[in-house]
Amino acid sequence: MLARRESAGADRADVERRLRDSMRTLWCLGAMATALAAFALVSVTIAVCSRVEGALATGAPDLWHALYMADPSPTLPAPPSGGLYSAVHNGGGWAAVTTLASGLPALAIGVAACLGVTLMLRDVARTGRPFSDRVVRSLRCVSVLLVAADVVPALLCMLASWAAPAGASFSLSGGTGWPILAGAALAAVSRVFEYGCVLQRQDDETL
Amino acid sequence: MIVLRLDRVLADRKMRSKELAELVGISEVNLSRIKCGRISAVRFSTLDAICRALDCQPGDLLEYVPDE
Repeated sequence: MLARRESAGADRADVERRLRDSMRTLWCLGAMATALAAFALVSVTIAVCSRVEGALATGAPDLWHALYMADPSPTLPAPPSGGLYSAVHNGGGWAAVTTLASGLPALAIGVAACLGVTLMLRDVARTGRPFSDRVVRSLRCVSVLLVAADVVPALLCMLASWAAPAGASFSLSGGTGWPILAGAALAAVSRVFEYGCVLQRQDDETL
Repeated sequence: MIVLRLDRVLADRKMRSKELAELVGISEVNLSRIKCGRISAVRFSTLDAICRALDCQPGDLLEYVPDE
């Protein structure tokens, strides 16, 4: 009987060690992803500010006009290819406004989601306990952020399109739906973890 | 409610907690939790080890006290 308990204890210690190792690796990856996303956010924000500043200096009356009317700045490097960077660098026109309106918030929410996951992984790697109220809260937050990352940019893009002047050319970039599905799946997983917390408490109180 | 009478049986056997913890294979902290009733369940394997170490029956360790 004692031998079986010792064997179960050894199994558990082994599983805990493997869990900590995996979480440590994932934490490093999460930290790198967060740093990259934050770097992208900061560089795009700096580029937007630089463009807006240039446009305001050359007579644009407000922020929207600055984005809408601005000419490509000769001081900025050439854009890599399409997307957000292209909108910032080659901008001008309502397409740039709608792209920025949907791209920047999505990037910001992505940074927040990456940060949430990274902090959660760090907690689990430190404590070796995945079933805790803290992890459940983190999972819920990240699931909400994933849903927001798809919904908020689509709404902002829609608002920008309503504010578009007559005849302005732009394309509506709505949500893809995948982040919403991922968020819903993560919310379901957080429910499973809630149940895991109850079982963990029972196990802690059993000798 | 179920009350654990481990301290009484330990006193009868004139055995110290540290000795019992070593015999059963659990830490003194966990044995103290059993003695103070700060647990909600005991595994059969733990009960078996305690009964073997103290040479007693589970009924000697557990007592039912009606709730007031």
